[in-house]
Amino acid sequence: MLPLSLGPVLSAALSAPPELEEAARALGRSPVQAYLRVTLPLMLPGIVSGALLVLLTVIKELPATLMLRPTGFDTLATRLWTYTGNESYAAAAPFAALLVLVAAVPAWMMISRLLKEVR
Amino acid sequence: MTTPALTTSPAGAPIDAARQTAVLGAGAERPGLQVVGASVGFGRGTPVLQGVDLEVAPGSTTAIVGPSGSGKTSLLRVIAGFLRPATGTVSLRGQEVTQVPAHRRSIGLVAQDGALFPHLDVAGNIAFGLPKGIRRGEARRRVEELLDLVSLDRSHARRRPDQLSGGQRQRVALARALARRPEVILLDEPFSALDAGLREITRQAVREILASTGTTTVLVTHDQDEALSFADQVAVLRDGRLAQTGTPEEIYRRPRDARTARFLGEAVLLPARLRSPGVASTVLGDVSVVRSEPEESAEDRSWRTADASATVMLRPEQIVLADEGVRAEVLTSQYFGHDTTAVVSVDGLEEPIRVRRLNADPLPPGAVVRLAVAGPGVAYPESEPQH
Ligand SMILES: Nc1ncnc2c1ncn2[C@@H]1O[C@H](COP(=O)(O)OP(=O)(O)OP(=O)(O)O)[C@@H](O)[C@H]1O
Ligand SMILES: [Mg+2]
Repeated sequence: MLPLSLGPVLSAALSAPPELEEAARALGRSPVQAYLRVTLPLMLPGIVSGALLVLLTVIKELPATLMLRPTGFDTLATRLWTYTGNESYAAAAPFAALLVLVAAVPAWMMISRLLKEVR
Repeated sequence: MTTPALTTSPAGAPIDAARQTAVLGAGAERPGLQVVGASVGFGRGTPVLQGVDLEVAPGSTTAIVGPSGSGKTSLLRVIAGFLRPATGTVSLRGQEVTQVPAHRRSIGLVAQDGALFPHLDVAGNIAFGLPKGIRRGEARRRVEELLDLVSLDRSHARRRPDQLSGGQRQRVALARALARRPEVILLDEPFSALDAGLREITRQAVREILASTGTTTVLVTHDQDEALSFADQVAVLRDGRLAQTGTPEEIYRRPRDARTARFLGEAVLLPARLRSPGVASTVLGDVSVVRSEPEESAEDRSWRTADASATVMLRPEQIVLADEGVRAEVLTSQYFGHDTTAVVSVDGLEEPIRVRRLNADPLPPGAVVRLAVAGPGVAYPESEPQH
């Protein structure tokens, strides 16, 4: 998860160079105020992207979940795996659909943000 | 340079600069800004600043000039409080602020690249500099005033920084720094991206507001005309040291050494022999000369009488065409509108020299002219170490 989120968060950190925080401080803002009003707003998009990427991976992740989950703990992916394993595709279908839907939200958010940046 | 006694705070304790100023009042004798012995180094290698002493009178403007990498930006960062000097102090109106954090120094800084906030539009950037708790309508009025001041169209107020040209960005950064009406403002090449006309207009407008608000100003510039015309004092920084500080006239007329002479304006350097006191003989004949330092020590006086070799510095406009004089041949002419500079070769001189004439037509190459010298030159005795 860490390497996955590192990219967007790193690019976020780069989009908030320390000179801008200094500019805010030269305008009379304390270091905390400068961070809240300049650095954080600039880094937020990247942090959100990183979090979304992690969320997406967590939802669809199967092997790690199978190994690490506490007994009796299900995720969409493990349900899907159980039902498809039994070849009860009808029962698996709602979970598959839900998984696609849930994953689509962060994916869409990231793509739209990407498109906005490209424009 | 005289160094008035420092009124220091007890053991360098953090002080609220603004409050202290209010208590002490505007001390007329105290420099608005004073840097004493500031040294800065980044890790190993030669220090970026070495023992810099700078004094700026309240409400006056000092221009800092120097080659790229000489430490100009670093000096501003020390004054602003973003770079802590290894040794030395910074004082505002006689109050030491070396330990005071940047945001409590009442020092505005316009960075070399503007450093606009990309997530705010032009109005948002400028309003960022306004005092907190100001009413909305008032804030908008101030923003518009500041836009006018830097000759930016009010319609630009909703633009994002990435939708502005380099010169427009510089002007927004200026307006943002002026919004807070700081006691001291530091400008790092604030007009460099403006075209000549706009530069003159903006410079004039900024000069007026700084004068009317009595703001103490330090301006870093690469433009020698700007340094000489905008500032009350010029400081030449070289390799982290102040090579010379003085009025624009002093720096231009009596540069301390040949390198400083060449840095601010063009210089004609002639080998010479010092004859009677104050006279040097050169290929252009006998020239009256002065020393770069106004005061002379006993040691200094000895050179005047000695038959010593020296270098004499003249400005190109001090070399004039005359009916009688030393023969020279024009190699090329450069036309600058207000003046014409001819490069001429003089008999007995290896290097050609430059002759500047106001309001004159270019001399054709090959023309033969006669040269004389107007006004005193500056003599640098050979024995004197040339830094
Ligand atoms: N953060 C830093 N770390 C290491 N070296 C630095 C740092 N900042 C500046 N320097 C070095 O200090 C020296 C002076 O830099 P400074 O930016 O003050 O020069 P300058 O006179 O403003 O130059 P310019 O005219 O190009 O803006 C340079 O050699 C630079 O490489
Ligand atoms: Mg610089």
